[in-house]
Amino acid sequence: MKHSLIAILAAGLVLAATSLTMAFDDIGQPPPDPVGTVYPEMTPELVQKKVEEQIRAQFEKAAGPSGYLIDAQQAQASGWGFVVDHFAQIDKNGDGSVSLSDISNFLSARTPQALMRAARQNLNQRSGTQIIE
Amino acid sequence: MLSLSKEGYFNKMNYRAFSLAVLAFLAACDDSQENASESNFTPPAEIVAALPVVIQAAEPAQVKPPLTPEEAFNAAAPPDTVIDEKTHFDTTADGSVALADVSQKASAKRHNMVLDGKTIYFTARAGHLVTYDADKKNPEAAVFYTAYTRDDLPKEKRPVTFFWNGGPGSSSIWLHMGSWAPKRLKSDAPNIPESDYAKQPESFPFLDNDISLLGQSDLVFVDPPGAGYSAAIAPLKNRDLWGTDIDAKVVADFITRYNNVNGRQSSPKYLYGESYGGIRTPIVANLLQAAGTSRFEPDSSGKAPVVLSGYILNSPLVDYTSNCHMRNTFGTAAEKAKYWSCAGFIPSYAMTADYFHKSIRKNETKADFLTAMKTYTRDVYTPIFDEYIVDGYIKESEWENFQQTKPGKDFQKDLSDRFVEDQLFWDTDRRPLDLRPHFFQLRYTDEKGKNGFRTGRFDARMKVPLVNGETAYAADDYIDKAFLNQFKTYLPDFANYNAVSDYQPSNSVARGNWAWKRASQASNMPTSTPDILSALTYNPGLKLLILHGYQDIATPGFQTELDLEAVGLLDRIPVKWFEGGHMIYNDESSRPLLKKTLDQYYEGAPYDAEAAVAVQSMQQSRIVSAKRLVDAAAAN
Repeated sequence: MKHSLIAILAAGLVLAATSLTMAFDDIGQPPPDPVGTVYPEMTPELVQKKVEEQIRAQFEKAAGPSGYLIDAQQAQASGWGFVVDHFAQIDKNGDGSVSLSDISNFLSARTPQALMRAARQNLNQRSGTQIIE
Repeated sequence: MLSLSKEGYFNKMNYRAFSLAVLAFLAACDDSQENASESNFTPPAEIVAALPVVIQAAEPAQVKPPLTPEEAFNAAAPPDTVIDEKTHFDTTADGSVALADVSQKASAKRHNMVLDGKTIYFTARAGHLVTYDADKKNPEAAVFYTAYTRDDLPKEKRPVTFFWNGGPGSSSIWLHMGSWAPKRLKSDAPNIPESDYAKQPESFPFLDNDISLLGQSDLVFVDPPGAGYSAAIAPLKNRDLWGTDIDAKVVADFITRYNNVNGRQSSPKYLYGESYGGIRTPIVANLLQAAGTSRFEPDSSGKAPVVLSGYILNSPLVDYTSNCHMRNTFGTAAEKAKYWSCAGFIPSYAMTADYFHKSIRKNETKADFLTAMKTYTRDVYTPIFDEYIVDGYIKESEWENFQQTKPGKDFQKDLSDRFVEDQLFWDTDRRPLDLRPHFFQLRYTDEKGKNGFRTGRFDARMKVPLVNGETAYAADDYIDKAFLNQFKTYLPDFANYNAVSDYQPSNSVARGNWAWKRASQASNMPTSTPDILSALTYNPGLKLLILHGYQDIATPGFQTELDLEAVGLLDRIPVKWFEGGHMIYNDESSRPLLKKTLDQYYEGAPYDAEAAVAVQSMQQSRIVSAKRLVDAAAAN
C-alpha cells in the first residue's frame, strides 16, 4: 500500500519504515535502466533532432512506406491535422501535395529559436535606420 | 517622444499611420483586459490621450438592454440533474468497464458565488466520457471528470482549462479540492498544529474559494484511467493504459471528446498539470497540436476553431534523467555507485533553511536571496562538483586532498552555512557531493535546537515530531485523509453526482506498473522537453507558464530551470517562484500572488517573439543607460 517496500529496499537506506511512505501525490520512480543504457546530453540540437524524428515519423505514417508526397486527405486520414490546417501555407507551389522537406521547412522557420533570431534581426534593422543620435 | 522600441513595435505591425496604431492598440485591449504580460507594452501618451474619442466612436448604439448575467445563465445552463451511478468502475490493474455499462450523461447543479465583488453563475457537472482512438471506433477509457462552467458567457471568448495532478496514478483531487475550484479546503500549509501531531486531521475548513479561476476560465478536473472513477473500456485493462505515452494520448483524446460533446471547439483552451504533469502535459499539448482540428466535429456556431492556447505547469518534473534523486536512489547498482549532481536542489534547500531561520539571508528579499543561491550554485558549487566527479565517478584521493585545503574547508563551510548547520547531515566527507533530498529532509531540529522533527519532501517546511525515532505519519501525508473525506460528500452535495464505486485518490499500483519508457527514448526515465519544443513549433503563440514553490525539495524549481536552459527553452518559458511547497496553493500567503500571476497569464495575448525581443531590448537599454549614468558619475 502506501508503505512502499520495494522503494525502501531499492533505496537501501536504513530508515524507519515511515520515512519513505508515499504521499498520495508522490512521484513514481522508473525502474532501473538496463546496464549500458546511454543517456544523451540534453542540448538544443538534441531536442531539435527529436522533433525532426517525430515529424518524419508522422510523415511516414501519412505517406505510407514508399510515399514521398502527401495530400491533405492523407494528412487528415493519419490524424496529422496540423498539416491539413496549414496546407495552403506549406504547399507553396499549390499543386495539392507536399513533401517531408516542405513541411520541415515550414516548421523550422517557426521554432522559438528561429522566431527570436528573426525578431532580433527585424529589430536591429529597424533601429539601424531609426536611431538618431 | 516615442521610444525606439515602441516605434519598432508599431512598425512590426505595419501600421505606419498614427491613427491605425491607435486602433491596433484598442484591438489588443479588446481581447485582453490588460496587454500581454510578455510585451509589457505601454501606449505612448499621445495614444492614451486619443483613446476616449475612439472608444466613443466605436461604440455601437444599443437597441435593447442585454440579458442580465443571471437571465443569460438561466437560459443557457442545463437543468439540475442528479446522477446515481450504479456501474462499478474498477481501478485495479486488470480492471475495466464494459462500454455498454457506461452512461455518458453528466450530472448538473446550478450555483452562484461572489468573485471579485460580483455575483457569478456556474454549473457543476460530473460524469464520464468515453475516449476513442483517432478512428473513432476503438474505445479506450471511461474518463471521469468534474466541470465548472459559466454557461452565460459566449463560448468563443470563454476559456476552458483542463487540470490533472501527477503520480502517475493520481486523481485530480489535490488540485480540485485545494486550488482553483469554486470551493477549497484550507489546509494552511506549512502549519501543522500540535493537536495533529499524533494523527492526520480528518477535516479542514471548507470555504468558498475567493480566488477561484472561474473568474478567468471554465474548469475541468480530469482523472486518468485507474484514478478517481476512471477505468479502461474492456477488452482493454487499466494496466494497458498505464504508460507515459499511452496515458498522455488518452488524456488528449478525452480533451478532444469533451470539446466536441460540449461545443467548445472555438473556446480558448488551456492545460494545467502538476508534478508528473510536467511530463504528461507537454506530451498532451504536442498531441493536440499535431492533431490540429482534424478531430473537431462540425461546430454549428461557425466560430473559428482553437486547438490550444497554452499550458501551465505547477511544480513540474520535465526530465527524470537530470533529477539526482531519481537517478541515484532508484537506479541500478552501477548507477547508485555513481554521483549525480543535486545542484538543482541547492537553492530550495537554502530557502528551506531560510524558513527555519537558519540561513545567511540578511536584508535582501527572498526573491533576491533565491537568485543569489542560484548564482552560488552555478559559480561555486557546480565547478567544484565537476572537478571531482567525472562521468559519475569520484576522484577519491583528489577529493580527500581538496578537503584538507583551505578552499576545501571553505567549500564545506559555505554549504553548511547555506542550508544545514546540523552536523548530523554532514555524516560523511563525501556528503557535499551527494545532496539528495532524503538526507536533507530528515535532519531538522526545532528552533530551540532540542526536539527532533522529520520534515516533508514536497513541502520541506512541514514537520512532524520524532518520537523514539518515528513520526506518527509523514508530513507529506498531512492533507490526505481530510481531502478524501471531504471529496466523498462533495460530489453528491455540490455536483449532484452519486457513485457506488470508491473514488481512487492515488493509485500506487498504477505507479508501480507504469510503462515508463517512451517510444522515442532509450532510457526508462522520461523527458518532455522535446514535446515542449515540438508544440511550440506547431504553435509559436502558445502561452506557457511554470510555477514553483521555494521549499519544494521533491521537484525543485531550479532543476526545472536547468533542464529548460540545457535545451535552449528557458528564455521562452517564464518560471515564477512562490513561498510554498509542491502544492503552492495550500499556502495562504501565496494565494493572492498566484491569483495575480494567473490573471496576468490568462489576460495576456498569445506569445509574440517580436514583442518579447522588444521588451528584452528595452530592459537591456535601461541597464545600459543606468550603466552610462554610473560611468558618467564616476568620470565626474
